[in-house]
Amino acid sequence: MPTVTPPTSRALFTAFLSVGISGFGGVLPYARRQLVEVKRWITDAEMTELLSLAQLLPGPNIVNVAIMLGTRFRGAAGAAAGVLGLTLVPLALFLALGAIYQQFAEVPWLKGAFAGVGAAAAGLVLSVGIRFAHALEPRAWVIALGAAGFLAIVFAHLPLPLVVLVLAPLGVLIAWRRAT
Amino acid sequence: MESLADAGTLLGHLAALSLVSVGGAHAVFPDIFRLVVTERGWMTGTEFATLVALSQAAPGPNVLVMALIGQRVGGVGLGVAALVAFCLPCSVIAWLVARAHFRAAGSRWARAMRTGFAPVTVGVVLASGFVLATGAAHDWRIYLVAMASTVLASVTRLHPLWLIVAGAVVGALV
Repeated sequence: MPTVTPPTSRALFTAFLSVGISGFGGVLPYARRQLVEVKRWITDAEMTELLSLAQLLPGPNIVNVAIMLGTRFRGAAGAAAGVLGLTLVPLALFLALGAIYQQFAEVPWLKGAFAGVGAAAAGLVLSVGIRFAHALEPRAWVIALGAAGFLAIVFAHLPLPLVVLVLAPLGVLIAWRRAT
Repeated sequence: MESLADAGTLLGHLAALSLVSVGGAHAVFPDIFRLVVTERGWMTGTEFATLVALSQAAPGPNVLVMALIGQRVGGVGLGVAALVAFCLPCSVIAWLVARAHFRAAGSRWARAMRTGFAPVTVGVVLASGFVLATGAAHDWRIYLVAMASTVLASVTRLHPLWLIVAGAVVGALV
């Protein structure tokens, strides 16, 4: 890592605060900019490593990045500072938005607008899946595993924990046997 | 949402999902949907999709949708509790793994974990998008919005907010 003084918990809090309040439609790009370019606490390579690990772990990727970076610099206190910075202000905003929405939920054109927003957001989620899929090696077992996960949830309506607990170890086993 | 037992059910469900939420909040939407819409009827599918949409349109991590879901089910207090219930278990895991990770470098085992997990994550995220699209759409034009948004977000670097705004305008007009 770069030869900088490890940031304090307070600095971690404010850095992730700025990430949290500016991340319209996805926080990750802004987190990279803040941590790598603005604060220079980690390099791009280290950010990639944190992200890989974050994607592997349960939990929101950006929360995991905050936890891992905080842990690295300041232990458990740093982890807590990062997560609280990331969530506190947007949480207040979200609860206000939710309350306002419930007041106006029955206005017809607003209901339509929200359905449209929901559909657009669903498209964003699908595009994330598509971009993830592009990053995979196009091998038969990879495609089969991804398809199995999709079908198990969408058509068989199986609970997610069951799907992940069965398919993920299977995938790790296959990858383990294929690794040299 | 009538009782403390219902609040306990929601919080327990979120805490359990936290431990398997590889891929983040998106990955567990189908299962939360199953509980709060299909099984308990605490909200409609459209309401659920709307809360998700709100969480995507507003600044901040999308995981804050858990607070919106809790708030819709049982008020502001349950909203805060729902966010904590979902974030705490996985945060403890991330903290433990981070401590171990910064001591040991990547091994064959770590690489296998990464390669083997990735396809499952992709399938799960795509399933989430699919479930959300069918929850939001009550009309063919809304389906078109979902499809257009998927394509544009996949092939362009358009800011997601433009797609959200366009979706709102189309939805309000149809």
